[in-house]
Amino acid sequence: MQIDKTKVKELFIAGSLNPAIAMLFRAKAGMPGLLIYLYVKWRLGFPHYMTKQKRTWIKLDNVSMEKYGFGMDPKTKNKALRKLDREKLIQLHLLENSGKAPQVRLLTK
Amino acid sequence: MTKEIDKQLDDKEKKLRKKIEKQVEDKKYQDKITPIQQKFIENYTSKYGQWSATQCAIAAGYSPSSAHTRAAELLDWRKHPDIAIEIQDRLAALREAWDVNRDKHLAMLVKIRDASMEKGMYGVANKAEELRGKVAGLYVERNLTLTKELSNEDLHDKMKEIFPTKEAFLAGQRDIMKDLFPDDDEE
Repeated sequence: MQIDKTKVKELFIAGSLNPAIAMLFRAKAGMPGLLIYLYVKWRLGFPHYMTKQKRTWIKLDNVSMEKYGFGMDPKTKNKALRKLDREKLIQLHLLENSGKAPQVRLLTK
Repeated sequence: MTKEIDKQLDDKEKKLRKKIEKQVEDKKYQDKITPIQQKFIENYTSKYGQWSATQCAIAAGYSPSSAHTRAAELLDWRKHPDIAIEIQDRLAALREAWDVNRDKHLAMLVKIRDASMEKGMYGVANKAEELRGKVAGLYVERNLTLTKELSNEDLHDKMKEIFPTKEAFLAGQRDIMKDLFPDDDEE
């Protein structure tokens, strides 16, 4: 599990990453928690491809996370998501046993 | 009738029913149910859930000023066990008709749909078809309640909880910097 440095630098330059909140995510769910925060923040920057609307819910599917350099084991991701949900740092929309990717909304500003 | 009642009643109600039956046997005067009482029973069972007991008593012919007392007396199994038994028997028969199950429900919806299609009431037919789909589980209703975002104060409290001292905060900062920029560690 490694962080794509270019993505992180992009995020810092864009000014959308709050290091204090990233610290919270890391402290609560470790490295996977931090990766989830970075991925969600990064994806939030893109508007919807058709409606051009800003998104609030981000789909955390294994394939695109792997593709864009935020890959991790699905079980690790699940554990981290549940920890973050319990701590009320994110809201998790999960259809259990459906085979669909969980969707996440950040509760931190 | 007794078998139907046995199916419908639970243990507690069965005990009560036995008590009522014993009360009927032990009655001092074996008087019959009067016509006005019979009318009350008919009103009470036919309008069950629509009319109150007082309304049934008034409709049966009791005086409106004392109807509530008469209704309470008639429904009290200690005072009128025969009436209580009669009401219980009638309701047991009615419950069979009221009972809803999947087959009955679907059959009725099909009837409504076909009848309304014939009359050209497409809205009703559409609703019936939609309900049939819901019974079959074709529609999945999903609700999502949005959780409130953390306010600045909440966030501050959370930070204080996780990093209670300055040293803990700095250590956290160092850790995250190591994760984010592992190559810049030496600098």
